[in-house]
Amino acid sequence: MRTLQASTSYSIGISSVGPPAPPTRHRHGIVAQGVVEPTEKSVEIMRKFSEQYARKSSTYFCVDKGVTSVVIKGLAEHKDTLGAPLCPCRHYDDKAAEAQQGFWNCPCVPMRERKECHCMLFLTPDNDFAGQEQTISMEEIKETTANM
Amino acid sequence: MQTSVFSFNAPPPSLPLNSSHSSLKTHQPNTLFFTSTITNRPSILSTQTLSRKLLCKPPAGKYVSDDYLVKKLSAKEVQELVKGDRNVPLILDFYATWCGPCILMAQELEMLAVEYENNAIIVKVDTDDEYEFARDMQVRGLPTLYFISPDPNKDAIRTEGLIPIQMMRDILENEM
Repeated sequence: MRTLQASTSYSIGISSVGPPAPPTRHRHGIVAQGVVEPTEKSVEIMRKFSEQYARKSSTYFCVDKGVTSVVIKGLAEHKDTLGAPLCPCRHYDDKAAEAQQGFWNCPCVPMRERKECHCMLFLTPDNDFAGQEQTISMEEIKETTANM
Repeated sequence: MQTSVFSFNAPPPSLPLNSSHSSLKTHQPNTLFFTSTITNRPSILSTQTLSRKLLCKPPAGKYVSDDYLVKKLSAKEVQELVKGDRNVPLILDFYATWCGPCILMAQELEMLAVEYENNAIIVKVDTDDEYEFARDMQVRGLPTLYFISPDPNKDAIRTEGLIPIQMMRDILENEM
């Protein structure tokens, strides 16, 4: 049975059944305290995408920018590992297959059709958690996710 | 409807750090620290065979941080908890590292843990670590909470997505 564990598997496309690999291996980004960080380039791409899509869909970021930052990083991480920004707020049986299929690639179908973003990345103005902003800077992302 | 907005300044507990079966060992005490096996006393100037004393116990790394009340457990530990004897409700929080609402949920659960103390057991499971377990529990959206009653005749209650803390209190008071 093929399993793909995003945070612990370091061999893409190879099912992780054997003993765990040593901790010195590097994946795409920096391993900091056991949490695999996405590359800065991907974070920047997803940051720009989020700003642009928020404008386009007339949605707003969460009042707590930490939530926005975490989701942007999650999207970047999936973009690094899977090639597509799969929604980070879901559990999948087969991530690679889902990324290929596309339903949950950001912006996912529920968002595109009904402006429903359960990640709380894009919030409609009537949502209690919606802030006033449609922008987020790289500094904000770094600050709010610094202790992860 | 008054909704609480949670500040993100509290450190998120969802760090998939070292767990007992994890491959990612950040500390290997046996290789870094070892007691001296040299019979004669090493001189201050000797560097090659200088032994290092264990100055302090290396962190076990079992918990994310000892400050957090909601502990991260492995699938096996959770299964033992569910099967074992309990007289309080059990709350399972399935989360992922980069899921934004999971961070807010974790903060709510910490508050609930403080409120309920020993009247409820609250634990969390990293779905990226425990892939099979999450799949078996049919976890889809994150965060997913399972409320498991101490009474084996009662069905478990499952919620998906961020829910207000009051809803959690209501479930614990009325449904368990």
